Amino acid sequence: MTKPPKPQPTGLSRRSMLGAGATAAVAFPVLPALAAVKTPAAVIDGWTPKFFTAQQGAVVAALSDVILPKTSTPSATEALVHEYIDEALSVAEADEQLEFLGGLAWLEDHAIDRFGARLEALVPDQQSALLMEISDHHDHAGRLKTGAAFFVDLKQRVLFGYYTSKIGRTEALGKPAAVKRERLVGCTHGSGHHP
Amino acid sequence: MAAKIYDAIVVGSGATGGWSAKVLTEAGMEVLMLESGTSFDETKDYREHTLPHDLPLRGRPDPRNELLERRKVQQYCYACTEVNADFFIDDVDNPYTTAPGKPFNWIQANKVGGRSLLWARQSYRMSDYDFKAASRDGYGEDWPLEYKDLAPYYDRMERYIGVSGNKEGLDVLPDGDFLPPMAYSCGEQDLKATLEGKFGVPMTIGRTAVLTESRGDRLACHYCGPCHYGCRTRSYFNSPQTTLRDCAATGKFTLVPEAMVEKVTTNAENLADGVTYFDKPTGERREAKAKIVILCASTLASTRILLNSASGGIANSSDVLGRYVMDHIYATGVGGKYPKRDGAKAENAQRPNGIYVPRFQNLDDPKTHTKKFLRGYGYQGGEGLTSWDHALRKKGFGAAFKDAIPDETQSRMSLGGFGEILPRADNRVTLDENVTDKWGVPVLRMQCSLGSNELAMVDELLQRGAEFLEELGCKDIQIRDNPAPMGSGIHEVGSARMGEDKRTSYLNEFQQSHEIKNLFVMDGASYVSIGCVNPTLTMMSLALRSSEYLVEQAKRGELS
Ligand SMILES: Cc1cc2nc3c(=O)[nH]c(=O)nc-3n(C[C@H](O)[C@H](O)[C@H](O)COP(=O)(O)OP(=O)(O)OC[C@H]3O[C@@H](n4cnc5c(N)ncnc54)[C@H](O)[C@@H]3O)c2cc1C
Ligand code: SF4
Repeated sequence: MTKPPKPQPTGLSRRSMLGAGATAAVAFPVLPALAAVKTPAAVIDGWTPKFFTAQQGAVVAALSDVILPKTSTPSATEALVHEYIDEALSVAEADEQLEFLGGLAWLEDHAIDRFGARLEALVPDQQSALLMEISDHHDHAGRLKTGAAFFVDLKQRVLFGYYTSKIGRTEALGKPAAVKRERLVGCTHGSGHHP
Repeated sequence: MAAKIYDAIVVGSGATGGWSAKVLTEAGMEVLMLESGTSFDETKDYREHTLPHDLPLRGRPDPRNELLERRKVQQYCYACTEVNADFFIDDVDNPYTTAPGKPFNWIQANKVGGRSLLWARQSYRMSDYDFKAASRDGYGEDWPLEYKDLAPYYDRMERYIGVSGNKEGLDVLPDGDFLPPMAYSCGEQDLKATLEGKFGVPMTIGRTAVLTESRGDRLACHYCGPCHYGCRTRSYFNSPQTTLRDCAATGKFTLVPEAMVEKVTTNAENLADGVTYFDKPTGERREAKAKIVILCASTLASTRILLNSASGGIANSSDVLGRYVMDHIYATGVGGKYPKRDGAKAENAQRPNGIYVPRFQNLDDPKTHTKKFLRGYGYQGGEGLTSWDHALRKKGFGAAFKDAIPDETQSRMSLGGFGEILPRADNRVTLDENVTDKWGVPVLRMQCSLGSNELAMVDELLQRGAEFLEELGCKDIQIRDNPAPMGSGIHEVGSARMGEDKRTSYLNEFQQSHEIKNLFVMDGASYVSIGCVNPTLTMMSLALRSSEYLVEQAKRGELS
C-alpha cells in the first residue's frame, strides 16, 4: 500500500523566525532554552516516523511524556506511545491528519510566543506550563480554542496508546503479558445479605 | 459416469446444519454438506488470545485491512473486527438491497461453522407463552407444536452442547439441564436484589452455551473473553468442534466448503433431486444430486435459495415464502453509572456472559398485563467495570493524574432490551431481479420495518429500565431510544413459516415443505413467531426433532 500524500496544514502562519516570542506576553519565566534553538531538532534514537517529520515526532514524544510521565510506572514513551500515534495517523483520513498537524503547529507557534524557543527545546516544566494553558481543566474560548482541541485529541491518543500497549497492560494495569487461564470468582458476599 | 446420488444434501454447516447432518449420518445416511464459506482451519482460526498490542492499531479498524474494508455491513456487528473479518461474509461480492426507508442489517458468516462460531451463546427455551401466543392474545398464528413436544429435544440439546445457568422455576423461561452457573459480580447481585425485592421482577445469570466444567476434550472455559475469535479449548458450542466432528466420525459425511448453493432442483415427479451450486474458487456452476434436500443456510439465505428455485418461489402456492420476517428489537436500552462500586477492580477473568431479566409483561398474572402492547421483552446486560478508560473522561494530565488512574475505576450498569417483533405479512424479502451477486444469482431485497407494537414496547422498556436503575442508585442514566434496523439483532427468523394449514404456511411442524415432501428447511425460516429469547437453542432443537422425523420417514419410504 502506498503512503497517502502528507497533508500540509493551511491557514496557520508557521513562524520560521525564532525568538519572536520576545514580544509576546510571557506568563512564565523564560528559562535558558534559547541555547538549544540552534541545534537541530531532537530526534529519537532508532525511530524513523512514518507520518511525522523527525522533529514533529520528537515533539509528540515529549508531549506524551508530559501527559503520562514516568512515575512508579513507565512513561508514555517507554510504552512507545509516540510510535503508536505516528502509526495511527499514518493511515488516518486526511481530515484527521490535518487537524492533528494543525494543532501541533499551533502549539509550536505558541511555544515560541511564550518562551521564545521551539517546543522540543523547552524543559518539561515549560512544556507542562504550555499544556496547562490549553488543558481540559477549563473551558477555552477565542485564541486558545485550537490549542484546547489539540490537547484533547493528543491526550486521547496518548491514553489509548499507553493502556493498550504491552507495557501499559502489564506494568500500569498489572495484567499478564499474554492471556492465561483464569478462574471466575464473582461476588463472594452471598445473595441474601449483600452489603 | 452418472453423478453420485447422496441420501441427503444439507446446505449450510452452521448451528442447524450441523445438527441435521449429525442425526442423518449417525442414522447411516450418506450426507453431502455444501457450505459457501471457507474451511475452518484449526491452525489459524483460533485467535481469541489476540491482545490489543498484537495489532498495529490496537484493534481499531485498520484501513489497510482489505478484508475489513470489504465488510462495511458486517462491521455493524460488534463481533466483526480486524482479527476475524474473514469469518464474516464479503459484502462486496454478496450484496442485497433494501426498500426505501427500510434499512436492514444482514450479518452472515463465511466459514464452516457459520454463525455458530460468532454467536454470543445465550441459550433460552421458549415456552407456551410463545408457541401458543396467538391463542392467548389473538394476534397471528400459533405454532404447530407445543412446549411439551419440544421439551425432550431441548433436554437433549442442552446436555450435548453444554449450557451453564441457574434453575429459576419460571413458566415463561423453562428450566433445563444446566451446567453450574457463572457467577454474578457484586453490582449484579445488587441489581438482582433491587429487581426482585422492590419490583418483583426475577433476574437470572445468562444461560450460555459455554462449559463451566470440562467434558472430554472440550475443556471448561478459562475466561479469556472474545469467543467470537474461536476457542482452542472447545469450551463454547460451535458446530466445527462438536456436531461436524461427529458427522465426520461416521464415515458417511462429505463436506464441501466454498460451495454456494443457487437452487433446489426438482424431477418430473415434483420431488427435489438435488441442488445447483457455484464452486467459488473457479466460479463454475455444478450440480449435486440427492434423495432429500435440507436447507440450513440460515433464515434468509435459505429463503433466497427457495425464491431462486422457481419463478415466484418453489413450492410456494401459499405465497408465504419471504413473508413474516422477524427479528428482535435491538439496540435500545438504558445504562447508568453505579457509584457504589466505583474503585472496584475488574477480575482478569472475562466472563463471556451477562445477566438476563426474563419477560415480565403480559404473563398469566394480571399484574403483568399491559394495554400498551402485545407480547413482551426481556433485558440482557450487567455490570461493567472500567480498567483505564474512565481516564478518557478525566480532566488533566501529569504524574498525579496518571498514578490515580488504576484506582479510579467506574462501574456501569446496563439493561439492553430484546423485544418480540410481531409477524407481519408485509415484513418480507423478495428477489431483486435487477441485482445479482458475484456469481450472477439474484439477490434479496429486504422490505422490513418495526411497527407500532414494537415502538410502544421500546417506550416501555426504556421507562421501566430507567426506573430500575434509578431505584438501584445509578446516576447519569442514559437511554438509547433508537432501535436498530431489522436484522441488527442477528436473530432474523420467519419467511417460510410452519403451520398446520398449507394455505397459510410453507412448512409443516417437522419443517417439511407442504408441497415437496423431500424438501426441508431446518433453520429459523420456519419460525411462526419469535418470542423474545435468543433463538438458536430452539432452532437447533427443532432441527434435531425434524431430522429424527426425517430419518423415520425415509426408512419407511415416505420421502421418495
Ligand atoms: C455476533 C452474533 C451474536 C449472536 N448471539 C446469539 C446468542 O447469544 N444467542 C442466540 O441464540 N443466537 C445468537 N446469534 C445468532 C446465531 O448465530 C444464529 O441464530 C445461528 O447461528 C443460526 O443458525 P443457522 O444454522 O440457521 O445459520 P448459521 O449458523 O449462520 O449457518 C448457516 C451457514 O450456511 C451457509 N450458507 C449461507 N448461504 C449458503 C448457500 N447459498 N450455500 C451454501 N451455504 C450457505 C453460511 O455460510 C453458514 O455457514 C448471534 C449471531 C451473531 C453473528
Ligand atoms: S469459551 Fe471461554 S475459553 Fe473459550 S473463547 Fe470464550 S471465554 Fe475463552
